[in-house]
Amino acid sequence: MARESAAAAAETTPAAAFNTSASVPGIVSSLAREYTANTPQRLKVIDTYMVFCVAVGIVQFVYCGLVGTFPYNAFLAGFGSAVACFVFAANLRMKTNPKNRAQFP
Amino acid sequence: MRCFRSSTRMLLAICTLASSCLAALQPTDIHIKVMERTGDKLFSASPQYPNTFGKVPEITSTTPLSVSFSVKSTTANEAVAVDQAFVNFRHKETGDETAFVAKRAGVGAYRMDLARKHFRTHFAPSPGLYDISLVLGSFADGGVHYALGTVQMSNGKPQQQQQQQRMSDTVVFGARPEIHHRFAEPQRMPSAAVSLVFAVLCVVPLVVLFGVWARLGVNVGGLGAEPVASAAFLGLVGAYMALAVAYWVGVKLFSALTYALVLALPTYAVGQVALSRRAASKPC
Repeated sequence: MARESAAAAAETTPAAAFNTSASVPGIVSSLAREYTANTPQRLKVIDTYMVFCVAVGIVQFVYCGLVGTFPYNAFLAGFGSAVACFVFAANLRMKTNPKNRAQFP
Repeated sequence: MRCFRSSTRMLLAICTLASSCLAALQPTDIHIKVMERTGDKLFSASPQYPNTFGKVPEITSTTPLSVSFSVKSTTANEAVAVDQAFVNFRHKETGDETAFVAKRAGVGAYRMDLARKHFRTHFAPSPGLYDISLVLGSFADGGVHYALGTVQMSNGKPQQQQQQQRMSDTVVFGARPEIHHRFAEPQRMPSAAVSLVFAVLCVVPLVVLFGVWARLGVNVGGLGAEPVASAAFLGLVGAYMALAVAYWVGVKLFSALTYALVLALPTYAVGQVALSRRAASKPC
């Protein structure tokens, strides 16, 4: 009896409501749905900015790998700026996340 | 032109002159040997004065040369001790001479063993054919210069490399070759098309960012709550951007840092006012 009630309780937990499959596309789609539904707008703005920083850094790195390091200072400045902006945005996201309000009042 | 000074030449000249006047010395029991390190005999000759040995033995650092002889006085017909006994080596091409002292090995007997270190020092750098001769001198009996024969000094390197080494060792006095300045070759840069493509690829994420922000509802409507402070703050942030451009164009680093420090205080103050009033104006 106790086992049957435990099994029945497991079926009604919120995780079962999403009905996720074990495949990678299913995991990605459930993650996207979860993110869109539960993430505040402010955090989405910062996340978008962070993705922008990553994209710009990747483009510069690929260019440096294909063409060469000359002028090296230009690559260092551009790539370093992208990385620095990403780090600052990550810090801002941690501070503005409502879930961290206890740590950052 | 190589300039080489040898006291042996002077001694040789004196001995030749003396021998022409006195000539009472005669080398005898002359033995020239080239042996392996194990003691096996590679070459052996015993020329009779004034003849030379016919063959040209090859001498390397591992096959030492040994020259032994006795000196007899023709007048007294007995072995005599001389005041100077040298074994002289003269390079056939360059004319360089090297003389080794023949050590006394008995009454009127002398011996010279060419040590490995002497070979490495004197003959390995200048291999080739050498004329070997005895230079004997006595104040009482005069002097003798006896050409024994020719030996081949070899250092194991190919003939061409030896010639190249010899040529590189030659000292030339004169004007050095003129130095012509060469400018550094310009760095190889990619084509303009590749650079443009990647420039566009760097701008595209910015356009996508603005598009996503617009879709998320990002707007500047909140600046109207505090227009003056907001405009001043954004203006000072824009001044920082302009300072970065100015540094890129020509402003020196420390000048740019000074300007940045000057802009820092008003930017902080105005930003503090603008953001705090904006936060106060937002509903809880």
